[in-house]
This record gives sequence, C-alpha cells and structure tokens, in this order.
Amino acid sequence: MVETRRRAADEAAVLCEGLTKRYGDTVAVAGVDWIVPRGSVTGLVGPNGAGKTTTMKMLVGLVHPSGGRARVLGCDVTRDSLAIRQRTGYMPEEDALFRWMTAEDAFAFSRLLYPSWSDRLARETLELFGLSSKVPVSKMSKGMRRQLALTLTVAQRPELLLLDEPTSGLDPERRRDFLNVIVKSVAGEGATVIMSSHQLHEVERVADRVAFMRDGRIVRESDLDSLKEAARRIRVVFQGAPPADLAAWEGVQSVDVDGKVHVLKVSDVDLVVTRLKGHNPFVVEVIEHNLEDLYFETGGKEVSR
Amino acid sequence: MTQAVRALWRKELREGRWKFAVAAVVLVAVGVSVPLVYNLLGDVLGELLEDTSVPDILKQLLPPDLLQMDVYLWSNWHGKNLYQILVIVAIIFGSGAVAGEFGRGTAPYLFSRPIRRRSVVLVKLGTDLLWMFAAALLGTVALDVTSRVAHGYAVSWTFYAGLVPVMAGAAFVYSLALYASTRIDDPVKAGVVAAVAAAVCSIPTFVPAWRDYSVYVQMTGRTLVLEGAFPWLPFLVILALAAEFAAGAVRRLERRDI
Repeated sequence: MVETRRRAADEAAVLCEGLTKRYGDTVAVAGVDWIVPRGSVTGLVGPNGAGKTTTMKMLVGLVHPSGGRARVLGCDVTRDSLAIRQRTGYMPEEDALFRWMTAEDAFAFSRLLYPSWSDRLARETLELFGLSSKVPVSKMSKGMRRQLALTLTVAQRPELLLLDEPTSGLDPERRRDFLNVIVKSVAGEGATVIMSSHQLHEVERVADRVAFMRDGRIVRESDLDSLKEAARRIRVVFQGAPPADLAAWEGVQSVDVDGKVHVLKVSDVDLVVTRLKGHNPFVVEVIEHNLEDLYFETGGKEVSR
Repeated sequence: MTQAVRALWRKELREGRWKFAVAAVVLVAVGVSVPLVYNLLGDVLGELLEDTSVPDILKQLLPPDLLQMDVYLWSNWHGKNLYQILVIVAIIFGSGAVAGEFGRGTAPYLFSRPIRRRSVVLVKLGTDLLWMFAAALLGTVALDVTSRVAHGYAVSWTFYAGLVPVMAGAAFVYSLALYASTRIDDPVKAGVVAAVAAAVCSIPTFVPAWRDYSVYVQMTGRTLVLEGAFPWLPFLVILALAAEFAAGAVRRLERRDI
C-alpha cells in the first residue's frame, strides 16, 4: 500500500491528499484529493469561488495550505517550494508582469532565474504572437500582456505549467494562437499542463483530462474521453410497447421515460443499440455530451470518482 | 550570489532609480544652497547684533561660533536638512518595498518565481539603502564643492564620516516602513503608519534627559563634530534595531499568503 502510494507520488505531476485552505471561518479548498498524471493536459473547471485559483496558488507556494498535503513533481509544496518553482511555470490570473519591463527586459530577468530558459523558444513564441520586444508592458493591451506572460512561461521550459484563466480577455484569433502554443509546448517538451478556464470549449480542445471543482472540492475527475463515453445516452422511441425488462438489460444503467421517449443511461452503447434494433424501434439515436453538458450535469451534485 | 538574486538586484536597482533621482535632486539642491546662504545669514546676524531695539539678553543667547564655517555647515546639513530629508526618503522607499508589489499587482508574478521571499526582502533593503546612500553622498559632495567654490572652505573627513550614523538611522526608519509594508498592502497606508511610528520615535528628542536615546539626535552625529569621536554604541544599537525590524519583515512575509 505504502509502496503503491509512493509510486503514484513519483509518477504523478501533482498529488493532493486532503489539501485544505481556510481563511478564518471560510473554507476555500475543502480537502482536495487529486492526482494529475505526468504529460497530461488537465482542464480545471468550476464556477467562480470554487477554489481553483487557491488550489493552484497552493501548488506553486503562494498560499500556505491549512491542512492535508500536496506534492508537485515529487516535491512537497510546503518544504520544497523553491524547487517546485524552479520547475514549474505559473501564469497567474491577474496581469502581474512588471509594468516597466519590455519583452527583452523580461527575457533577461527570466534567463537568470531559469537554467532551462530557451531564448529561441521565447523569440519564436513572441513572433507567433506578433509582439514587439521593445514595447514596455505598460503600453501593451491586456491581450498582449497575456501573450507575453505565456511566452515567458513556455520559454522557461517548465515540467509543469499552471495556467490560471490564461485566455481571459483575448479575442478568438488570439485565443487560437494561445492554445496552439500550449499544445505545442506539451508536444515539444512533454510538459504537464493544468489549465483553469471558464471557456469550456477551449478546455475540450486542448485537455485530455478534466477535473470539476465545486465548493472547494474536486467533485468529478477523469480523462475526457471516458467521461464523455460514460455520459452518452440513447434516446429510443418504440413502435409498440417497450420491452418489459428494458431496465434490466445488460449494459443499461437507468431508464427515464417521457411519454413514448425512453432515455437510457448505458455502460455499453454498441451492445444496447444492437439489441434495441432487434425490437424495430421507431427512433434510436445516441446522444453525445460535450464538456459544457457535463459541466452543467455535474453542477451542484457530487459525483463519486 | 545566485543568478536569481542577481536578477532581483537588477530589477530592484531599475525600479528604485526614479525615487533615487528625486531624492538626489532635492539633496543636491539643499546641499548647494546651504553654503550659498551663509553670507545671507551673516548679514542678517550682523544686522541683528547692531539693532539697538533687540535686547542684549537675546543677543547673548546666540552661540558665539554660529558663523564659524564648520559649525554652520554641520548644523545646517547633518544637524538638520540631511537627516530630515533622509527620514522622509526612507519612509517612501520602505513603505513601497513590499506593499508596492501588491499595489501594482505584481506580487503573484514575483513570488511565484524561484526566489526565496527572504531574498526578496534583503535585496530590496540592500538596493534601497544603496540608493539612499548615493543620494546622501551626492548632496554632501554638492555641499562640499559649493563650499570650496563660494568660500574656499573644504569640509573635513568627519563631515563625510557623518554619513555613517545618518545612514544607520535611515536604515532603522526604512526597516520600520518595510515592516509596515509587509503588513499593509497599500503603500500609501503603509507609509502613513510608518510615518506615525517614526514620529513616535522622535519623542525623546524633545525631552532633554532623553535626547541621547533619540535616533534622530544620533543621526546628526554630533559627537563627531563636537568630540571627533565616532558614536559607536548608538550606531550599533540603531543597526541592531534596524536588523530586528527587517527580520520581522522577513518572518511576516514568509508566513503570509500572496
């Protein structure tokens, strides 16, 4: 058991056990248990005040946990915070860059901070965004500042990227470039990415895992494909009476009836569809769920992992 | 010095340069003006002494060596202008040191870099004291040069040695403001709190029996000019107090959430 946990801790980019943060009587993060595999791109989604930012801040050492523990890249967040920050790229939600710095100044600053810093990657990313290296941050638009912040985060070639609402305030074209940089960073450098966002279609586009957070807890977490697979439904309208034992069929988890329409929650879509077709239904269709549907489905109610 | 600390030094030196520039301009202007108004003061005093309507008892109150150049320069530079301006500069530098990062919204970026929080405080303290010393030195040099040009009088080495106790006092006031800056995220509010604390520290100045315990009296380095002796004990005590406040600021910053 101990050996299994140790192996999980070594293999995971992030491992949280009962991670908690209290501000007086307010509980911002209420015992998060979470494993983020190395090399994955995880979308952290949830409503405002769910605890996403606080969780990220605890991982990077900005906020001290009140309870529980967390390891990032094998290092304890309270004891080895400096080592974590050397290997982690954190992009905060706010515009937090030094206003007087140009991109050149910011590169010079980061070059000294990170031994793994890549000037080539920095210039390539800056060019991709079409940003000037001579303009100070104070003269940049919000979108340009976000792009520069991502450039700095990516060019330090971190093992883990923590991106808090990275695309907020960006127009659709810039968002696309932004997501491409993140995907390229993962493909090229093998980094692990945790990205919080309210833009669920963006998370769906880049993430291979998703964690739903609500009231300071991760209420649902899985790889995105399994999650969508598990959320598929079959809508069926029978020409005559439905099979009496429909709810007891192999692969059928539940049946909701609305007039002649039956909606089946199933564990094996293909098996159930094949069997349904043997009963000459009027309509059989598989309902796919996107992340937004899953988000609202998860909303408010706790789902066991 | 690690590469990260070097990066921080560069950042802090760059960010402090405008405050330094303003402090240097003020101190140089005052440093130049002190020797230039010497003749004016002489004329005024001459008129005062010749004025028969002024009672003799008042005339006798004037120190006989008031128009002696070395006493005049010391009392108007170290004894008054330099320490008063440096106290204000120290409050401005210190109150903005950490609170400024929160006020500008740069704290999450800075403190998520691979730099220890204690290094951030110590580098800020080091660079800001360096800027303050440079401004004080420039003002003193400006006074010396003006004095040589206008009066052919060169100040003695003790005049420059007087920069040491005044900087120790500035470090104390700076550390006081730095501590406030780690507790209050608004640099203006932190500055007001530090100014009130600095004002409280001036109370011994106004009580004759306590004057020696006043950091501001010690900042004037009066034993240097009166006895030619460096005030070691007050200097070390003030430095120890400054170190304690700076350590308190480090402890406070390390404990707090960003």
